[in-house]
Amino acid sequence: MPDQEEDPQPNELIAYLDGELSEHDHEDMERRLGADPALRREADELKRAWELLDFLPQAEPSPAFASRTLERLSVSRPTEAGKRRAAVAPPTNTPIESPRNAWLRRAMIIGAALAVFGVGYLVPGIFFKRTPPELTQSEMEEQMARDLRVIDHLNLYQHGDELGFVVGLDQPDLFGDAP
Amino acid sequence: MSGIGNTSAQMALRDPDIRLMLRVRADDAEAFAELVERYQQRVVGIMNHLLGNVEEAEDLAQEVFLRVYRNRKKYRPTAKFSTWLFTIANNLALNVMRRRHRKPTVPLPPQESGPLGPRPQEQLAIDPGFTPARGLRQRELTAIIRQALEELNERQRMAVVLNKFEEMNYAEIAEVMGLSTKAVKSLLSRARAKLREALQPYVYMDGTPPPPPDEE
Repeated sequence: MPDQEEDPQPNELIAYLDGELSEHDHEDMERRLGADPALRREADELKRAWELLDFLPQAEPSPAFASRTLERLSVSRPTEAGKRRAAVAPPTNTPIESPRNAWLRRAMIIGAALAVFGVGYLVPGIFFKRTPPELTQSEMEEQMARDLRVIDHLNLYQHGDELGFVVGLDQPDLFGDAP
Repeated sequence: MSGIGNTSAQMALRDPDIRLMLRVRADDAEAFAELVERYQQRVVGIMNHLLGNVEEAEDLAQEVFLRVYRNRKKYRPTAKFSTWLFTIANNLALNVMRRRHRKPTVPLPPQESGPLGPRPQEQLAIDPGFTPARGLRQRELTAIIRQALEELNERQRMAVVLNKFEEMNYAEIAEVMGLSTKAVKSLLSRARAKLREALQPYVYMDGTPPPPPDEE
């Protein structure tokens, strides 16, 4: 890789400028700089070019950066669904949910769903149960008399698939003597 | 502090950032907010130097903090917290810069230099009497330095930014970038040689004379 190719002399000069040489190498470089004006000029230019980087402005994070970062962490939580617990940083004043609290919350949601089911399904059955009205003896006898013909002919009626068909048969014209 | 050795424990006690991160690891939201507050300027600053765009820098800095939180359980206080933080920043920034490198932007032709008029290099070419001290405004110089930095490859730029603005030594940069100290030395050497070459016309613009060739 080109970045890692060796080029000893410039490496040493820059390491000298960065204070990264051993004491022995540092002294050696100072001797060479004293004896070599071109090397001295090179070192000076390297140092000055490096100092020019100080002209680059230092970016300041926007005032809302921290709060937006924390919000983004909260928003990203659903996408983190996986094996590990979602890494969530809720707003500063909201405590991070522990695994225990998460289970507790889930249990409460399931409990609430069951309670709603119970109220919606079971309670009306209890309170609005249809009980047949109690009939008096005479009313029962009257109903049986009314249904007596049906009871007598029940074996015939069973051949009809629909009540409408059976009712349609109740016409004297259909079963009268042929003209 | 189970699972953490004595040395690490002592380090954690001394280093307030490590103490803070250990609280984050224990799901302390306030500690995390404090960590963001404490490091936002440095992370945004680094990203801006690398990308040259504040909005992008903020987005990426947010991603860095997001990953710090997601990986909080993996944090071990065996090194400075900032080293761990900047390792995450390095990985993210290198990915973004590589993607950018694969989709390079098309530079405008010289005649379209914008409201600032000709660039100083162009001015130097057309007007021999032009001197940096007379004609170069600071924002123009900033643009030239920015350009010089962008001409470095991604890893050189990262090493330069960590060395210059985070004042990291070679060993720390090596740890952040996952390289040997020798490789960092080489990276920085090449980067600084390129910067010197690109900025050579401006290094003596403050009027200071270069060192005399026969100075004692």
